[in-house]
Amino acid sequence: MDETIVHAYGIISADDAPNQFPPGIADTTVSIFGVDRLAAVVSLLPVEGFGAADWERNATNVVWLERVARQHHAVLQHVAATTAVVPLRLPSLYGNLKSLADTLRSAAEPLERDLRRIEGKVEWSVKVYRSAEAQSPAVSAPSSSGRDYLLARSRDLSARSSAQEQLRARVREIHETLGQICAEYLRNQPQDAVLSGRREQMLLNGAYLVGKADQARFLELVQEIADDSSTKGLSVEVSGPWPAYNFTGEAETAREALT
Amino acid sequence: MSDAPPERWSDTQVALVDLIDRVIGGGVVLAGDVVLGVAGVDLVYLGLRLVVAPAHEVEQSIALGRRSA
Repeated sequence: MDETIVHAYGIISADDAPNQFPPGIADTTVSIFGVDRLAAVVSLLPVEGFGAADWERNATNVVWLERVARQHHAVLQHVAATTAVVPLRLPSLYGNLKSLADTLRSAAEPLERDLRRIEGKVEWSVKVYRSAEAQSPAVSAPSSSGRDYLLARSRDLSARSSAQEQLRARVREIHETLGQICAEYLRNQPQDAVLSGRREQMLLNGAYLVGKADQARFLELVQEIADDSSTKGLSVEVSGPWPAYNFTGEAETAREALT
Repeated sequence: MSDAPPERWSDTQVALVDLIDRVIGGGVVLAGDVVLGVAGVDLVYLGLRLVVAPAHEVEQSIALGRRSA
């Protein structure tokens, strides 16, 4: 291969390294690069095509970006199935292995802290939407006068806002209930409707760091919540397990800001 | 709601919007010697948003209130 650049997917403990990987970005071979007690999951990409200039050039090339993001995630997903891994945010490029080693050494302490934090745990996502039927506005009987109309309209508005407040309270309760069996949990900003393509209002975009042994219980609890009659008007969706994207590094500050 | 059993690590179930959210909204930034300019990184993040929605809608939603990436 011609000149290469190093892409790092994530960081693991050196003594935890899996020995098989799916293909990486651009179908390159993924391998382990150990530095002291840590190891990076890496592949060597051709500079021609994946250098900084190519990232900038492809910054709005959705086909290119989606392919890269999916391959990056597929490697992390594979590693996370057996090993605690600190996922690195795209793009994660190093000129050569020496430069990656220097970076790893200088960040060894927070990375080891992150690894201890997520050891034996995985991330689950629970989203709660306001279901479509709960969003239809209340309809008042036809009003005989302007004054009646205004009164009826004001009743409608206050009924709607108290219904909204009840839903929000229920969502907070759901989040806290799920949190009881998690090592950590946090609420992300609701996803943008444009990006999610969903018309229903997202009320909860929760991330939950769950012990591997507690996953079945966690999912049972999600199912119970979804079936519960007090969840009427809400729809509950769960996905995972994810690598701990939300419980490493910078996510910490986001969490503090929300709690 | 889906009945995803634990320990299913397949990539096929992953909704793109969730993936994009995590790949650029989560994870750790470990800056090395090859750094994209700030504008470059912003463009990549904008681009990843474009992956899941048409350009004009993304621009509109960013104008309405951008989620910190």
